[in-house]
Amino acid sequence: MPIEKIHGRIGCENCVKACPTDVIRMDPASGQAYIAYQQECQICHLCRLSCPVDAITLTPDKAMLPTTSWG
Amino acid sequence: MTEDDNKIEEGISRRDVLRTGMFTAAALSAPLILNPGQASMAAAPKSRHVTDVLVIGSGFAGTFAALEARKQGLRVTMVDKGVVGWSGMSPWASDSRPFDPELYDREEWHRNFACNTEYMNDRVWLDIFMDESLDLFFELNAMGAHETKPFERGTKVFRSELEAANVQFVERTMITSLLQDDSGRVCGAVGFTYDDSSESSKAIVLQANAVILCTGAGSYKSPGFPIWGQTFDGDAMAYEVGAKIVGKEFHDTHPTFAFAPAAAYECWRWAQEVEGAYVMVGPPDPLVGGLELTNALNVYKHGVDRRLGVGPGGEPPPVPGEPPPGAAERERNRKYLNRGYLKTPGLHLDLGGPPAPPESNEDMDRILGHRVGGATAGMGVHKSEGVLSSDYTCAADGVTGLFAAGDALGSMLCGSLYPGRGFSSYGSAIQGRRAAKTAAEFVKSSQQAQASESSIQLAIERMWAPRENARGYSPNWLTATLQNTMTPFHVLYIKEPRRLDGALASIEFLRQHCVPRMIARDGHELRLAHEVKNMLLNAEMKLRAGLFREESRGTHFREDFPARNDVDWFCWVTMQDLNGTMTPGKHHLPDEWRPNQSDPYRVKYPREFPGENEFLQESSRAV
Repeated sequence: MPIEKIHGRIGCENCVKACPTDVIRMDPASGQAYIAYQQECQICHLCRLSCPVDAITLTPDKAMLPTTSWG
Repeated sequence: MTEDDNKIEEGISRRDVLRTGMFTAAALSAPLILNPGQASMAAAPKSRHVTDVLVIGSGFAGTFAALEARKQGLRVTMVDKGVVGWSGMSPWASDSRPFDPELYDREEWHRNFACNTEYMNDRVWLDIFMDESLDLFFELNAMGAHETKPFERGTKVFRSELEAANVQFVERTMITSLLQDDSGRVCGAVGFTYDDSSESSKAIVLQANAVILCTGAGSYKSPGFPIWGQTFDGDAMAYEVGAKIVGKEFHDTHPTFAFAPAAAYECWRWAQEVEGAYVMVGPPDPLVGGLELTNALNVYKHGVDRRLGVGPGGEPPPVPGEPPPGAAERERNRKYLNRGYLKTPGLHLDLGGPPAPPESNEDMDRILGHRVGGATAGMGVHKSEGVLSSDYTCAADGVTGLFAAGDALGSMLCGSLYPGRGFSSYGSAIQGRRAAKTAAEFVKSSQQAQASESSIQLAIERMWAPRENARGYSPNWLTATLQNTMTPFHVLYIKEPRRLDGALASIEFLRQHCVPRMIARDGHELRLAHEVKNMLLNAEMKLRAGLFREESRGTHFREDFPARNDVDWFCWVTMQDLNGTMTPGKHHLPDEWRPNQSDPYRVKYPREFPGENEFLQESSRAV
């Protein structure tokens, strides 16, 4: 797990703007950020650093795809 | 429809495969995965923007390019893959080392840079850096850039400067190709908005009279270093319009942790979470502090060192009772304190030497392990890979209307090895400003350029292709395969022709067979598709440049030529598309940049490659 959860969201969108790899998106229905593409997380910490309410939990492990022979 | 096609149509989506983790007969017979998000994009909305200067990227290079172009009275649009203020690697940048003539000796900087970068650095660019970096320091200080944490500098300082200058932003947009008019002059770019959460992706058409690439560098998104959004996009687009790309045989070797390689941030927590600017004290050292190939070579010689406490670059743990690495250098640099720019209040002064390791913490050591170099697979040397501009104007050689700055420009400021700390972000800013001055002169003295509607339409169709492909190869699979091919040290760092050829055959297959058949089920995957296309092009350039350069130097090591060869290889290696063929070339360097030929070899080249001495003894090439 890289970015693990966003807990205590306030809808400020900072983490969506900060993420350089489009991991986090805004859910149009709820108006809150959610983890959309976790496997692209590079654990750069920008979302955590930009969060005004310290809502983001990161772990030191990378989510990786299993190796397959097909595309 | 053939029997095979039937099987493919009955195939399962990649998502199904990953979810179940099961092999099925259909999956085994269906190398082409169905695209569950396949869609016709013919009717996708288009958004057009017209400007004088288009700046692609908004880090240090892009910010200073855009501000300068506005000062010159031109309309400026800045497009970014992310959001302006968070762009590129700039939020990561902490160090600076301005040249202050009151403190430093210009010739000493030249000598140290040349020795450390093994005489591949561009001395004219170093002079430009030394001429302009002190003004830049005071300019950044006046902006307030030294009063923020590094990651806040973009949002709190750069973005507000750009807004105040009325630079137009186009954000969260991936640019996929440059536009050209009928004469081949670059006159804009095409891209798309990838965030399709609340509205579908749009094509973005940006028409401009000059384009400045400030797109940074890249890596293969290896899980060993957060390279963020950088995937060599500028190099790839410039290569496709005929620019020469330089510096691909050399490597960045930033470290990460042995047991938790994805946790590289912890190596830089000290820099990211400090309030204010880190400013280096003292001249660049001739050898200490450079991003050397040492650790990859240590792996080659001794295997992975699993001891805890080993420092960055793989050096041994500090010996109790002995001074830590860099202690003598730090003591020597104390004489510069309280002089010149160092009197500026509020700076975090760094007396040099390798960055101090994180405070010893046995629990942390057990989780993360020691630091090992070579985490940024695919990345070249800061300032020393990218678009060649041999006349110091930042205009791309051989391509009209195209300019580059920062890590997208192959200025070779840092030659074959990043020589210490403090040159990258300032180098980017200086080059951004210079590129904008040249671009402004060009725009003011030339006619407006216009790409034909048919060429715009063709660029858009090529851009959407992975969304429209019904079956093919997923960008995530291509990225994983690229990583597995290019990341191992025996391909990337320890080069030998058969291994390079083997990797090249694989990369060529991926580029020729799989890239045209990529699938993307949504805007996010479309971005990944174009990113991996650019990374694969970079991989081919790195392999071909590595094969071409038949010597060892700086961060380029060939097992079969383990010594420097000033006779044949006192040059940079360029890559250019000539009639559809990736063609290497030599860009020869001025004779006055050569090391002093009367000096003994080990004075000229203090670092020793494995097998080098034996090779020199046996070889008639010994210098």
